[in-house]
Amino acid sequence: MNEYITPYTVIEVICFITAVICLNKDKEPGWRALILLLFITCFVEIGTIPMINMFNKHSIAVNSNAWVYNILLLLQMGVFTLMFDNILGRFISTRLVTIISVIVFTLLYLYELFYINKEGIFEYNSITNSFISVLFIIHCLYYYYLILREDTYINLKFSAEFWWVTGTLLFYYGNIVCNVFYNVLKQPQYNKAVHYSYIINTLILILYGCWIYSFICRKWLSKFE
Amino acid sequence: MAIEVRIILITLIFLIAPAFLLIYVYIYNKRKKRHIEEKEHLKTTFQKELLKTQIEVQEQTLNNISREIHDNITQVLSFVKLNLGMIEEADAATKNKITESRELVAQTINDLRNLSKSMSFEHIAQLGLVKTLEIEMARISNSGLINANLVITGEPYALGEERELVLFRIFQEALNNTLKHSGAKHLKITLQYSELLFNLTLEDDGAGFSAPDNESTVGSGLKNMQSRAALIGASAEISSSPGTGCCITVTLNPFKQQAYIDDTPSDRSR
Repeated sequence: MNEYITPYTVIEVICFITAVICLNKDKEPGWRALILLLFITCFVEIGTIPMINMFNKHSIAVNSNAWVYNILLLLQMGVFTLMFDNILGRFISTRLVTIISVIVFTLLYLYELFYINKEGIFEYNSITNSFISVLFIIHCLYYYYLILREDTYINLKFSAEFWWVTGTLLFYYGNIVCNVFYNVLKQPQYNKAVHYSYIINTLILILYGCWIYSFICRKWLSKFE
Repeated sequence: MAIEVRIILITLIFLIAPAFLLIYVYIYNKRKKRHIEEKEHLKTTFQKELLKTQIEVQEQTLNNISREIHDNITQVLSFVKLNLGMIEEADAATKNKITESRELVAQTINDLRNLSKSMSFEHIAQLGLVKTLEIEMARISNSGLINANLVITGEPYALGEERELVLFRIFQEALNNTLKHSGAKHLKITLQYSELLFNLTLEDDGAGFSAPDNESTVGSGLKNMQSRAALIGASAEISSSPGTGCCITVTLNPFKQQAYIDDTPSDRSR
């Protein structure tokens, strides 16, 4: 039972519950879609724990949980695109950038799945993951640029968009480093489990911490923005 | 150094970059807020100064017209009246006409003097708001245009020359609107003097109008009243609906000093 209660799963469940309370009546589809994303993320994180145990016993590709995360990657791309479309759409027209991003993502996803991965869907699409990390970081940085350029003042302390973007930026920034060093850390001579989980757990806490505050701002504090 | 430590350090350094970026965004945003506030303050000060200048120019013009009426036109008319009185050789019908003309000239002189007084800043400053309004109400009632009624509650006290002048001009603007647009038969003016609050209320029983949806739709006359009121630190509320007349309430805290009040109006006494 204890293996199901990790910092990871606890903060995710808290974030999901906050999202349900704060966003269920939100007017924007992007924000509402976050409830679905968080529900599926919680479901995947908790549901794949037995798969990890199975993989640890028999380390063969079909026992890996990578295929679940490959499917989750599609949902992540969809929901984040909706969110950035909504957030950046307040300042500029994002249609062209969104279309190009989705096309590149789809092509890269399929190419990696069928031509790069030796195990196909049973191997994680890490290149696509890195690509969306870079893509989301660029979106986040562009959002900061736009709020600095904007003539009107936004009270960042109570801005739901700002906190959502900040969580996303910090997580994906760290995620890139993890992806870069993943191959080093997974070598048996290093205590990969310890170091990798420290970094990832910290990033997850930052991400969901910012998101929880963002949802609270969205529901109750946006009027002070 | 162990590779694990190196990796964690690199990760931390990597994460410092967005942290610095966030601090920069936060500081820049704070500066932007200060800049916007300063800009807004300058804009408000400029608009206040502009309005103050407009009012001063208007007052000066009215003062000049008032003097011209008093010192020139009424003098000429008095001379005409005297000349008419000096005509001796005339038949009865002509004498009647002359007497009628003298009365008409006398009435015109009287009306012009009253008009001159209502325009003159000095006159309002000298008599005070209550007395000026009483004279004005008597003049309106005598004209037969509308049945005007002045009610004073509380013990009247001086509000300061500038404030009283601005309140009198608001009254004139409201009266002008009532006479021009409302078709009202009755006008009630209330001056309420209480310890911490002064109220000037103008109520008519005219056609009324729909309440404006937003600030931009408020008519220029009404907006003018609100701007004038704001200049002396008062607030003007206008409530009306079709068929129920109109009510304008100007509320002022007599002890709250405004910069404008402390200024000595330029060239007022010329």
